[in-house]
Amino acid sequence: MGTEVVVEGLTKSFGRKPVWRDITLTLPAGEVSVLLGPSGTGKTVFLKSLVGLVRPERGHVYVDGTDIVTASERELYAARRLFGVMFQDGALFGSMSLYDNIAFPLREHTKLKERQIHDIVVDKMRLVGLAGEEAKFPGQISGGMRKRAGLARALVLDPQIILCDEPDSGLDPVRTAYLSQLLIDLNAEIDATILIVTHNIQIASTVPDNIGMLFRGDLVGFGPRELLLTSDQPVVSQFLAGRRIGPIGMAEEKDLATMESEQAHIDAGHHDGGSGLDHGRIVPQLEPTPGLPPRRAVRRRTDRVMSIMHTLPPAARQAILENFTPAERARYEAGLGAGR
Amino acid sequence: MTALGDPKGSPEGHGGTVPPMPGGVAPPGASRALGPLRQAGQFFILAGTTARMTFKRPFQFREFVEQFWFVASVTILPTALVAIPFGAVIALQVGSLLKQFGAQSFTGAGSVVAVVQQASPLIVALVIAGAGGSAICADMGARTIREELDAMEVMGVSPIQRLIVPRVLAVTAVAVLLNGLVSVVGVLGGYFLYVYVQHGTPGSYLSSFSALAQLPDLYISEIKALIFGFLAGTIAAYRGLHPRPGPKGVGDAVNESVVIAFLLLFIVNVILTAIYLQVVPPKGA
Repeated sequence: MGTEVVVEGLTKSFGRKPVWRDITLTLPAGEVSVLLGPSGTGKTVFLKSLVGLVRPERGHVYVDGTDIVTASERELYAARRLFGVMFQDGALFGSMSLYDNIAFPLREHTKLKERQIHDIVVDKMRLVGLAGEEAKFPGQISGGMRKRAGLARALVLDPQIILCDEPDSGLDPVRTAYLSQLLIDLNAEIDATILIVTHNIQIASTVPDNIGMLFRGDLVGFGPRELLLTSDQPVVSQFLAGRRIGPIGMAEEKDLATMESEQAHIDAGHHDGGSGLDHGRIVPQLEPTPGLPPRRAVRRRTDRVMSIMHTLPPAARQAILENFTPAERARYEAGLGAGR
Repeated sequence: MTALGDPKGSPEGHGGTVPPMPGGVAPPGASRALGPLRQAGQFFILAGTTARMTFKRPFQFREFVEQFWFVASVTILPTALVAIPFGAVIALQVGSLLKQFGAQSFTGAGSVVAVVQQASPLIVALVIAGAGGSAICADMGARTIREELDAMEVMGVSPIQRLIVPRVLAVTAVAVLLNGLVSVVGVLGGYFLYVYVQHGTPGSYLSSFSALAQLPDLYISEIKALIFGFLAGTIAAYRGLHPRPGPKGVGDAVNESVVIAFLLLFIVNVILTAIYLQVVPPKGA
């Protein structure tokens, strides 16, 4: 089972410019979480601070008993062995072929024979759909392939926590859907904790068990997917619908006058820029490809969600109940009664 | 934590690129004044870490050999081409000066003092910093902005041990070896000019050479080359690890690394020369 990541009161600023402050959340072990947020809200910085590449000024990140924020170099390198990170552009080594890139962690950290390394690398490359591309160099392939190669490299050491920095950027919707399915299948197979940082609504609505959102340096919310997908907070609903109307503007700050003039345009019949998708209706979550084992995270998550059911708003509660399978309904019958 | 752990953590350290927040009360001069100090501190941390990591197993022997070969291949020819005219010009200048004193036969001694102690280590350092250091800085800078180094750190591999140590050692080793080459070429250049152009006698050149030259001259020359090589390599690595974002940032970093290395080399040279003159008494004095 994956490892839990506990973030407490994390605050980071660059110079005097705060990036985000007082972020507290827990990535539940073995579950898939998504951190949403408009561009430039420090999502990548947050992801980097989880692995100690960025040192926040205050707060803690506990991973398997180690506080990443205050850990010594040695502890940090030990704790990082639990992580597999997929960087935004793949971050492959330009001087190495894809094969050598993916074999790199194995050669550095294991005493495996070249033959065993070959088997693992070929297997992971097949998993991400890059079979036969071993000899290519990162400069010769498309951005989407670099991303997938980066994911394969993050997977070779069987990480317990997988962090994905914008896995969708530069990918078309179909490839994004394939990548989403890949992440869910991975979760079913190795039961790793996964955090995806993105602003892609397609991923946010179909992949995660939990969703959080960063906006203007604050965590707007973090909880079961139903919580954010049904949220009536203006920031969240604007973001999910992709509308111009709402607190998020083109620049970091959006003043009241801008909002009013935009609203006037809409009232006069101007298009609000939204995709027209109704965010109130929750799209079902992806399931592992048939033939794979069921995700063990589902059962754990449902147990957890049921225990906090009474704290959730009615819309989220209703959405959770609607998505229950008959088996789950039977199992949580007693809890449901108490929750109402 | 290593020196590169937080590359974007102190943007104010890179020349105050962050505009002060409106309504900020802290004096804006404070961080700007501390900027160079912070840079120097980070540089010393990197130099120290590099020195420490040198002795940490496993040593990246393959990377070292590759880098050594690369730095040697881009520096040998330019250094030799610079060394010959430089040795010649020193012989000419010193020769003509000594002629005015009526001591032309001491041109050989002038060559050894000027070429072996001063010119040779500096030529080596300038070419190494210009040709080898700039390439290393550009390479590291490109890797930094492409997040390759972040990825390496996350995979539990120290980029300093894996990439910086072999490069700095390669640059240092090439500097020490090239210094021998330049000394020989420079002295030979002086010899030929003295004998064939100024029509001095070979015997006077050689005898004055051995009259004033002593082994410590060669030692300090090599020590200088060693220190200059290490500095040039570390500065290149430091600037490469902390570029401003974007391709232009890497270009600027390369530019700065060469300029900083040049400035620092001459300052360090003054200090080393002053110490040497105090510690080692001149021969025959």
